[in-house]
Amino acid sequence: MGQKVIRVRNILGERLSLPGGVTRERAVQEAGKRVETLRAPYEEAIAVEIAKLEKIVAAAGPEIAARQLAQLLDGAGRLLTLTGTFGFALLDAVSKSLCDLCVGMLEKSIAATAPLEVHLNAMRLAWKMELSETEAEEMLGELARIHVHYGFEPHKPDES
Amino acid sequence: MVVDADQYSMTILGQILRGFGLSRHTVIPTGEEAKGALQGGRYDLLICDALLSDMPAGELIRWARRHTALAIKYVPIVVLTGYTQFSQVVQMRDAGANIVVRKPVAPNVLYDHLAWSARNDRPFIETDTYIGPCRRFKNIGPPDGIGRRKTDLNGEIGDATEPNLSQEEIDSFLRPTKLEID
Repeated sequence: MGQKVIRVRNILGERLSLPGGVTRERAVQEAGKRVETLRAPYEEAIAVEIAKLEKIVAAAGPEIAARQLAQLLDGAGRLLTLTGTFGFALLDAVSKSLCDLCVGMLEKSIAATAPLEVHLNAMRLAWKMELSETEAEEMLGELARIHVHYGFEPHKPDES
Repeated sequence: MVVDADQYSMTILGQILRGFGLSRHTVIPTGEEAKGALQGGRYDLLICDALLSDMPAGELIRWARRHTALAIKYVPIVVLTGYTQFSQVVQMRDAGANIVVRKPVAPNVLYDHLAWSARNDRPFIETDTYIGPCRRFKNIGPPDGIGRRKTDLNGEIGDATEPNLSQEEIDSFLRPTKLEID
């Protein structure tokens, strides 16, 4: 089979060119408003998700299995959806640091739960306390030192 | 159709789509169920998470792109990737996805990606190893002023030395003119 080039119906293009509808600004604004209606229940869900992560680490004891790390990564991913959508910048940064940590631990087969506990404590602080910019920077700096200690490369999502 | 097992992500995405005026959308948690639904109905757009609970999104995309029903084969596919899965962009593109968007999805980002896809008539390519939208495109922004051909002018454009054309002068270029040919 060689290469076949096929002109296909652009369904999205056809839909977009239909008469009527709303402008981009209006659509984006309306979508933003609708997402905001979820803020209250999802802020509560953030605490629930942090508790779930703590439960996984507590159940693991001093050493965590790869399967549990994968669960942790999955949960941290869910948390990132909430923190990113509703603009909790510090908690978002801590959650990303936890994701990087889990990926690094999985890649290097590290099982110690201590660095995970430090991240979860930082998560609690970031969620419960109103930290100043300096305090937040210090916290993230300390978390970064853990990554350096284990030799984990920071995740570079935009280079893919 | 939205295929995602993450309840939060699914609900947020649902609200965004409703905000865009897409009130009729189906939410499905697994790849297998998505396959069944695609075969049983007609969908204008498939949005799926990169990592489904029962299969990688790449498998679902490859299945769709090799389907005999044209409505399934050519359905536009948007893949959403999580923070640590963003490295899968190339994998998703090579499976036949139209667009890859990183989570969490912001309304303006999703809208712009969909609008971009709608305005670009990318042909479909079918080879032994790939079926999907043409991957040979690149948005490299405006020209950098450095020509690649010998005949390209590489000099600095500089500031305008003459006043801009008036609207009347511009209109005169566009006005239909009757010509008499001897």
